[in-house]
Amino acid sequence: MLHLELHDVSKNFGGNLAVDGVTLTIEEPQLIGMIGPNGAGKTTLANLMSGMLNPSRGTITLNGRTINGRPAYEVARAGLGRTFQVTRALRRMTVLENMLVPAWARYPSQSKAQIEERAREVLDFLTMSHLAQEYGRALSGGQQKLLELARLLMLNPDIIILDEPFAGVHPRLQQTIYAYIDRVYKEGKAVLLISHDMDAVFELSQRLLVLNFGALIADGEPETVRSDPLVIEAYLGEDDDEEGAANANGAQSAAVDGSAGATDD
Amino acid sequence: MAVIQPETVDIQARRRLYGFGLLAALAIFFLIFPQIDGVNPYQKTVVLGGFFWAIMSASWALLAGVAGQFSFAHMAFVAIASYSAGMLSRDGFFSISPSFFSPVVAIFIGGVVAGVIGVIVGWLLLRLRSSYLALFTIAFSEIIRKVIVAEEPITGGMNGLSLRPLFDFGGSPEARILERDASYYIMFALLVVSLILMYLLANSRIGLFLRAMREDEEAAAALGVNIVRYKIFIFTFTSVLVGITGSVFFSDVGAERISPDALRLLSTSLLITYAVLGGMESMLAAAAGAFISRLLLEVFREIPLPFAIQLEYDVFSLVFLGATVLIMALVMRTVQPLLRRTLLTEGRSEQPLLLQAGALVATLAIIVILRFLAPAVFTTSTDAVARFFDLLLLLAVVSFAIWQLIRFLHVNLAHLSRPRYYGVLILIFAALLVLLVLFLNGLLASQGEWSFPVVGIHLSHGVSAFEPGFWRYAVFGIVMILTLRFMRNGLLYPVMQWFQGRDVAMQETVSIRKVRDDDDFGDEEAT
Repeated sequence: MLHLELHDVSKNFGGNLAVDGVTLTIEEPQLIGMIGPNGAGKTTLANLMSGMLNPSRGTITLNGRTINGRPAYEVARAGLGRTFQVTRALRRMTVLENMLVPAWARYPSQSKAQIEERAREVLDFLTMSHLAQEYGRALSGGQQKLLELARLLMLNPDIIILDEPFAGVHPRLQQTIYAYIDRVYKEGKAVLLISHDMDAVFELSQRLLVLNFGALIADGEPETVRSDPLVIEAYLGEDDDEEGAANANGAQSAAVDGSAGATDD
Repeated sequence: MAVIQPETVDIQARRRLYGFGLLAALAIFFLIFPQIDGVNPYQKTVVLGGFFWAIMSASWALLAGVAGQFSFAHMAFVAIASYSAGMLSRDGFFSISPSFFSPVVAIFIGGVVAGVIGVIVGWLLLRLRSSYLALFTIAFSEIIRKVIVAEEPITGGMNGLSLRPLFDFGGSPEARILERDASYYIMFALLVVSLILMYLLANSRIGLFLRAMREDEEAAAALGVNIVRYKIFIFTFTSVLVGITGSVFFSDVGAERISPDALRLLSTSLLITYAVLGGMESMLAAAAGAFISRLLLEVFREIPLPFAIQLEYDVFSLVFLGATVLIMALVMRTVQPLLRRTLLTEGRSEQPLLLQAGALVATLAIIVILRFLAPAVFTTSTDAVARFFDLLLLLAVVSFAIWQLIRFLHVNLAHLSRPRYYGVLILIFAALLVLLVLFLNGLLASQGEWSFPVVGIHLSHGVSAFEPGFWRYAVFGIVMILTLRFMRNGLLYPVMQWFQGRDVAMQETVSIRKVRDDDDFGDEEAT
């Protein structure tokens, strides 16, 4: 079962309307890209879907259950997993333990050995099997991103939200993440990809959502969306080069963040 | 590629076996300890107290080190349980006859009461983290203490409440020895059982979730961990555990009665210190830290400084807590940045010395103002209040001087190698401590009207002198601060890591990485 439905969902922080009446449905395995300028409400929308925020208005249903006002852990167990824009490895726990947490939370009856076997396979797939015994705090920024992806595979949700998976990521690692997205798609999951990396989004997604000032201004095939005048005005801009430069800057600053995280200890 | 090499698993398993072997040997030793010839009752009592504090520190390590809930209310739960048990089994309550409850039932009910309060406190603390949680629990603990002191008809006030003794074998000398041994074994059994319980818990699914909660509550929730449930659970679990342990201890097993002194901030600070010294993340390390610390404190009790001063209990706890934590933190963390912000509108300090002087003056001014305001507020025993502030003033000056000295030393000793650097620092601090004691001694000797009983000059204002050898607590405090600064995981952490075979695992990471890197290069050449 795979069904996420947002009906007229809004969220305001004080007078700031971060998400404005968004209605959308995800009901089949799909690679969905979500773009929008900074402050368009992408992350807020992700937080609403994952139960970390409560919508001010509207209803969200996941796999037949209304998840408004439900705590995040229930949403996670009901089948929606996410990564964070700023990686959140559990720092004083080993990589294996990091992966054990979601697996055990969702499948309490599985034995530790069973889960660890699955974890090893996932780690192998993400080329980080040598780090299994390492503490989360010892990982580099890129490795922490991979760890978040690995944890999601262990949670095994139907819908995966990836918040900026490519920010500050080396091209080789980016290939690994591509392979990951391909894999989860083939496993029959829907992937919602929030990214500023336009090339990646257009290359990967089968469906594109565009947010601007909290409102969903476009929802459809990437090619159609790309030529939508509203989208061009709001986001893509007339001048493609300028946008590209801005993206590069964003990626750079994220990279600095990532390396700071790695040398923190 | 296998994640873990079989040899590593072997080594880790063997290390763990060594660890369990060591524990078993220790357990056997403590089992036969009371029967060894030449072991006197005093020694048994000391070891018994060590067991009690080991349970306290270990359960605190579970709460704070594993689950990340930095609570200061540990002794409050002990008091809640013990007083509940005492009121039920001794004095009767709600017209129930005292004989209605046997001591065991009363202790059990005391544990349940502590658990219920633990649920409530855990629920109240859901949204509080780190320092806010600590402040709340300090306040909670103090409120409980004040209530106990105030409700004299029920609780016995400052005199405390004696619980019905757990054993009563009669009054003959043989029976007394039997009683003592029974007390020893019951406390030892409690320690073993609670350590095993906590070990199983920490290594179970729940323990994993607790640690995830400690690391990052939001991330853990996003991974499906029910934070609310586990936070309340861990408060309840530790409350029941320390509640039952405490009520057993105060049922004439380790102490004849429970008094509000048991939940002074000092007791809580001490049990936290034990846990920090041993290692917060491991219950075993915390328990060992507590046990060894208790023994050391007991050994050094008999060795007063040649010029030792005896301080009143209140003043002493102020010295211990105030000198090490409060004033340093206040001056360094609060007053100085505040002044920096008000005095300097732009950027970092250009005149650090001036600012520090300003900070000192401000702190002193606050204390002086309070000192003169206080008698107007507190009508009773104004001289005691004034003395309190005098001492505060002294501590502020001294700690400021120490702080300046640290800065000076740090700049001027930076070129030394690490061991030498710390060696010199420790020597200087030892000398300072001696000087301070000498200074205090002289000051107090010259001002006879102060009520600190000084060795040789017994002044009495109806104040009971604190035990000699208080200086060990001061040393203890310094050791704790050094531990926090330089070995945050505790002094026994390396030992625990060795027994768990961490070093082998890390070596393996390195070796696999090497192999992998070679593979990568190979691939690239091939393509």
